[in-house]
Amino acid sequence: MRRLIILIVILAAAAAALYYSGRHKQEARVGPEAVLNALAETERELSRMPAAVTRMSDEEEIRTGNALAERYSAQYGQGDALMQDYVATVGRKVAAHARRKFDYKFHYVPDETLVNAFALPGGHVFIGQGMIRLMQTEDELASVLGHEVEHIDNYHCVERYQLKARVHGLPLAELLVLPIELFQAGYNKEQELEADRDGTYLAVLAGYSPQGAIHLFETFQRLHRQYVLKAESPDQELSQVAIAGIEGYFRSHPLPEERVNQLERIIAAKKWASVPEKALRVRPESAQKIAGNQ
Amino acid sequence: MEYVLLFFFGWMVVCLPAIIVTAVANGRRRRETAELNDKITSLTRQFEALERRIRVDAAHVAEATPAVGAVPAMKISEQETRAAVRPGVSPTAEHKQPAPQEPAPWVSAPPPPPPSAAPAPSVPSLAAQTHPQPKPVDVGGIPMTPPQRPVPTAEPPRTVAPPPPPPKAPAMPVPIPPPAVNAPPPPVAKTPERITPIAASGSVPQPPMSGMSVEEKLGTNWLPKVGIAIVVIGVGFLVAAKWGAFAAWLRVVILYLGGLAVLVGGIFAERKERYQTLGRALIGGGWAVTVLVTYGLKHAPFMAILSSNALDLLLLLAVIAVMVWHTLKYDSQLVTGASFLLGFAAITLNPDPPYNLLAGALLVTGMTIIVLRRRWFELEIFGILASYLNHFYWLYSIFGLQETRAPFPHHTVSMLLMIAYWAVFRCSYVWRKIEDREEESVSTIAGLLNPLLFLAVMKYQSFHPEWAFYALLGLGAMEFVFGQLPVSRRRVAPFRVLSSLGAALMVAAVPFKYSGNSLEMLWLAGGEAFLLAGIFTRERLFRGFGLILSSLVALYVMAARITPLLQEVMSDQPHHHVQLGIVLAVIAAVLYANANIIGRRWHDLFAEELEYQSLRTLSFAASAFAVCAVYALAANNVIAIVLALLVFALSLLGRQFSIVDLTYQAHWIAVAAFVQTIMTGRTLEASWNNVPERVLAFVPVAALLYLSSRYVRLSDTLNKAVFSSAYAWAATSLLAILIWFQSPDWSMTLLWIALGLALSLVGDALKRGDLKWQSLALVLLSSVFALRISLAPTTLFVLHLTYRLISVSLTAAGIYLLARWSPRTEIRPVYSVLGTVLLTVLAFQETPEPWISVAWIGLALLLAAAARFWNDRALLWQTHTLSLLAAAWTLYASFAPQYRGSRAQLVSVGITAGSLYLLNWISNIAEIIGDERISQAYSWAGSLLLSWLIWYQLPAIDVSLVWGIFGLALFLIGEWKSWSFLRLQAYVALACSFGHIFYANFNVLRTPGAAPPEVVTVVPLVGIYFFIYWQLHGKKSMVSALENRFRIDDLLACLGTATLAALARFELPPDAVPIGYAALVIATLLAARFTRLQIFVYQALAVLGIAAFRVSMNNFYHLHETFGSSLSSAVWTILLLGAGVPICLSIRRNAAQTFSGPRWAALLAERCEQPMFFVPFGLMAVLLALKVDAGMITLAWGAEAVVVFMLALWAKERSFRLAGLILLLFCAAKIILWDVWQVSDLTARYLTLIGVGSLILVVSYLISRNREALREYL
Repeated sequence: MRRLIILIVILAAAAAALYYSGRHKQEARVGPEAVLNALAETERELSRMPAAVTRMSDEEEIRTGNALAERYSAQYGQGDALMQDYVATVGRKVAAHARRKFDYKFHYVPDETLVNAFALPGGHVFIGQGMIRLMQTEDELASVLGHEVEHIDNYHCVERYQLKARVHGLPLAELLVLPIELFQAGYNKEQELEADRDGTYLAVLAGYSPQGAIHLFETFQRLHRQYVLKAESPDQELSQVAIAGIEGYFRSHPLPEERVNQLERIIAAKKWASVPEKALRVRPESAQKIAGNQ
Repeated sequence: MEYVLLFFFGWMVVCLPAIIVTAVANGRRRRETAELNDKITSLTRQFEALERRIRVDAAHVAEATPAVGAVPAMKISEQETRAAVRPGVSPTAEHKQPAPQEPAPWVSAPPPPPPSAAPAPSVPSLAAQTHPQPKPVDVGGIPMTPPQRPVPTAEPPRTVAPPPPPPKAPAMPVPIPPPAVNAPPPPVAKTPERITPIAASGSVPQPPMSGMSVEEKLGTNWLPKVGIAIVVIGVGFLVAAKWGAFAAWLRVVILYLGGLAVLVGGIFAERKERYQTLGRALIGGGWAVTVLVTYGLKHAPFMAILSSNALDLLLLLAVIAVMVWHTLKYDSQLVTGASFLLGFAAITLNPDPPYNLLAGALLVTGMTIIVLRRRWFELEIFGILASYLNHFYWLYSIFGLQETRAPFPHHTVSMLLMIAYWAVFRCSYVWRKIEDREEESVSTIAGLLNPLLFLAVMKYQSFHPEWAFYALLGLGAMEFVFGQLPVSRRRVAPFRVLSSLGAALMVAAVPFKYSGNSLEMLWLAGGEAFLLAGIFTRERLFRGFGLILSSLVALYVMAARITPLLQEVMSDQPHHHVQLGIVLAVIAAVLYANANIIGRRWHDLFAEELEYQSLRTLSFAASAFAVCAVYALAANNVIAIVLALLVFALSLLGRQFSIVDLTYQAHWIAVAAFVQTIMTGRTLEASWNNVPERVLAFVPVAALLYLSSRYVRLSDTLNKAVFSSAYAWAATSLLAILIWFQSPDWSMTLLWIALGLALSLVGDALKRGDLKWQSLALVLLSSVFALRISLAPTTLFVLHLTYRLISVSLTAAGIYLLARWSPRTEIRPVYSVLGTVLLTVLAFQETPEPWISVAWIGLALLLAAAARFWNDRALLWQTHTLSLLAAAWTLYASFAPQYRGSRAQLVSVGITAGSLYLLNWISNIAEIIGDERISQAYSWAGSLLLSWLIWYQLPAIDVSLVWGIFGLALFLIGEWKSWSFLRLQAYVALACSFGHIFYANFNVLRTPGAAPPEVVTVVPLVGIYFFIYWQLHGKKSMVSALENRFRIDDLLACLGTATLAALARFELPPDAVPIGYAALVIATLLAARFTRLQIFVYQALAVLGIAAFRVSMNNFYHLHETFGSSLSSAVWTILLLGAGVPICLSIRRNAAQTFSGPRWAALLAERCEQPMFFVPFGLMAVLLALKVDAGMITLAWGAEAVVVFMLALWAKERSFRLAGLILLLFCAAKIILWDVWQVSDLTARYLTLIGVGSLILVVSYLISRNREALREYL
């Protein structure tokens, strides 16, 4: 009898759960992302100790980063000095509160197809013209730069290759031929969320509004839905070429909704005051909309 | 005021251990004195009663036995003697362990001997010896007995009896031998001189260390030493530092008083057996402080009140002399050794020649005298080290001052002093009495250490390298002469050691004089000379020297000559060296001659195992030299052939002369030949008279190996059949490799099949099974390569036939044919399987995709027909496999997007399905195989399709739950009908439901709100898993063997817990995940406690590991983050895990069950409180290290250790207490090794040292005090 009662309870609970699920439609994508994220996180946890043991010195990191940055900058030359200065000014302001006291250098890449920002070891942060064009305010710019600074600050950048380099005893010269795409590809979910949290905090400490980060992620969210999830019409498919950077961004980063959720929770928990956002004081030259609905 | 405060503080810190020990010991002593008096009274009564009884017994003996003469018949054991002469200083220990410590021979007296006319004369003597005890004196208000004087050696010798039986059964008299008047006295283990000091010390021997627990050893033995060492180091810093504004003389007074206080405290504590070690440590520490202060009188900058080095040295020596005199009273080698250590250290720190040299000599002499008198041979080793190293340090400082290694003023004195050291220690070594092997071993170490250190230090101070030859020769001669002295020969060991040492030194002198010559040949000649001399004089020592020299030559040549040759060979460099080759060949020949001619001719001289084995080893070394000679002399392309010839020759000679070692050597050379053939064959591309050179290289080697195989088979070696086969295998391998090198891909497999055919025929004719096995290997090889050919692109050969079709189909046919000569009947199916696999792959490659399954099912039909025709079970199984493959391929290919709804899909799936049903009917599988599982496969297919349908029809987050319900339904039906296959399908469905939640439910972005649908649909699954676990666990007898074997019930319980863990992992905030895990640990432990199910204990342990990993690798790395709650989560997790310890203890104490599973896991589960304690213990230590300021870590750990120790006392768990103690010791080590050097404030440094050392002493005292209570917890 007891067995029958328990069985009925279980089946009733299951039926109720199915009914509840039917009433509260939840969009679910069957995929390995959750498992992969968990695996990536576990892998990172497993590598924490080796990474700490084989950590590069700051001098080595700066030397490597300088060489990589020099190689990458050489492809684009010195264009739009005004924008370069603007990015550097905002970046230095944001990086002033970083834990690792590097001489952070912020590079503006005058490439409208580069809808991305990335960091190199040793304090170099690059941001593409395509990314800045998605922004409306300086606060958004500060949040992106803060995010990238935190990738450096939290050793995400250098850990990308240091363990392998140490284990295999690679000389420094071999690290310098690493493709820059390695650093553009983004990090695992936990690292990205960590950089979001700390990066936004850097921006807030520098006097920017945390809403800038939320607005930017909302822009990403819109683009993500429009071009990555539902790129069905031919014109949208054509836009995929220009948006390839964003796709790369979304391939490894957490979903924008999740990032927005996290920031909203932090803002509520920390009770950050609502600071009015400042419009971008300088805009990229030859502005060309790459997104139809901007 | 400052003086007074500092003095008071220093006094308190330094004397704290002594004060505590003294105060507490006084209290205890007062209590125990009353008990002692009672016991002494009681013992006295017993003693008097025994005495009366002895008199009565003796009177009976005297009546029954005639007078036996002058020798007293009473036997008195050594222990009895000690008991008799020792006052009752420590009755507590005697009371606690009466049996082994204080045997009472009179209580368990032997049966009364025949009556005697007169009492035995020994009784009065015993009484006389027992009664004159020293009068007790009053120490600190407590009546104490002063140390005994040595027993006068002038007493008439007494017969010493074997130890009396233990007094556990006093009523049962144990027979002992009658008084042996005429019997020889048994050997006395210890001389009276050795007994006397122990008795004289007035102390009770410590309980045997082996009987003590680790904790007790640690607390009562090691902690006092560690603590006092730390205190002394701290005082050392104190001596060197400036503290307060005291005058120098006042500092001296304060420190002297401190040292004396420690010394007095130690003397006082040492009198109690319980605190004996602690007391001795304090005595050592007190003396150390006194010596340090005395040294500082001249050398410490802030307390120097003397200006003369000589005076300071004199004072030091005086203090050390008193110290040595005092420590000798305790008869402790360790304490006296420590005193001498301080003496040597004082001399080292006082470099004022010639006083320091003179003092060193005096110390060495004094110590040697003590060594010889007390037989403290271990102390001599320390003395040798101290003397030479001290001298070395002095020389080092002199050279440092001179800034160059140049002659110095006291060079001659130094040299003479060194020689004096050597002579003193050598005389001590030769003229000593040894009683057992252990003493001899220690003496041998001293005997070897002396010349080695002497030579090393002499070398350091020498300036004439050309004298080295004479010095070595002279020293060697002296050692040799010492070895030949009669006193050395009597003890044997010095004769061997010194003779060998002398000979070695004299031989070693030669290279110093004649360096640059061909040493190996010279030494070889010398070795041969020694060997031959040893043979002709029949002196074993010389033969030994000869063999040793030969071995040295071999080692030298291997290191110096062969290594470069091997490097050249390995790096493909030219390695043709005629001279070296000849040298190696000569050495090989000589060694072979020694081993196989001399060794066989005079085999009686080499009968001893060591020599016999040495000869064998040299024979093997000879084979190595021979091979190296071949490499050095022969051209590259013939090396393998020459090696093969060598193999042939060795195997032939080994067989002919029954020398098994030669055959064994042939084995490894055969390996070398084999490898060399392949290495050479890689690069041989040319031809000689249209015959490829590769063929010329491979074929002779293979032929020689086939021939050697025969002689190996006929030899007397072990495993000869195996090795013989190995030779044949190697030869066949070479031929197979040759085919691989020489023939095109498509015909290679055909040639291998042909070779296999030939081997099978020969093997069949010669009855050689191994040849058939080689044929099988070739078949396997052909199959693999045919498979590779099948998978590679191909070209048309003729008509519509491709190379692939011809090659693979012919190979498959050959394989089917070779099945006839299979080495064993039972492996014949291997051939048909290989043929079928090849044809299956061929069909896959040659047929369009949707029709592949049709081709396979057609082949399956043919196989089924053949199976029916030959009644072949293997062919039938191949049919089933192929059918299954066809079905799977249908599922895979026909449901692919491009074929959905196509005619091809319809027809191919239709034909496949129809053929499957047809096969089921034609082959009548169940009747032939007798296994119902074949028919059950249809059920599996139905379930598979249904699951597929659910997946396609329902929303993703509902799929897992519906699969779970589906599994539950299958299980209930299977249980109802007792269909195990249906239950198995249920388990698969449940496993799939578990896996699917990770891909659908946990992949959903977290929904705000209390009950997100993706979580709600997961929770009922936990109930389903545990429900089925409950059903299975309760009906274990009903489940199938498969379910039992895979422990399905436990797996389902694990699924339930894993689902909960996954919910915690994916649905809780990242920082709080470990709290979820820890809560799960507690939940599973509670479940284990109340249900008494083992699985929950195992699950708790597994989740404990996961929680620990998560905390340590995630939370600990985010402790400094601005956001998140990593710290609080980590603390909560650790506390929660710690809360599991009482539950585990309850489980252990309430459920005395045996755990199943692997031994280590069962052990962990039985003692689950151990991991449950040590994990949070370790985590807390790491957390403290990460979060607490660097200077406070040690303190925090100390606090944790104390808390753990206290909790452990409450829990009565020894391992927990040990953990606390070890952490405390680690804190001490950290302070010494790290904190002291990192703390910049000098005052803080020495105060830390003294304080921590004192604390350790206090802990030691507490452990000593509670020793009995701790033993009860063991």
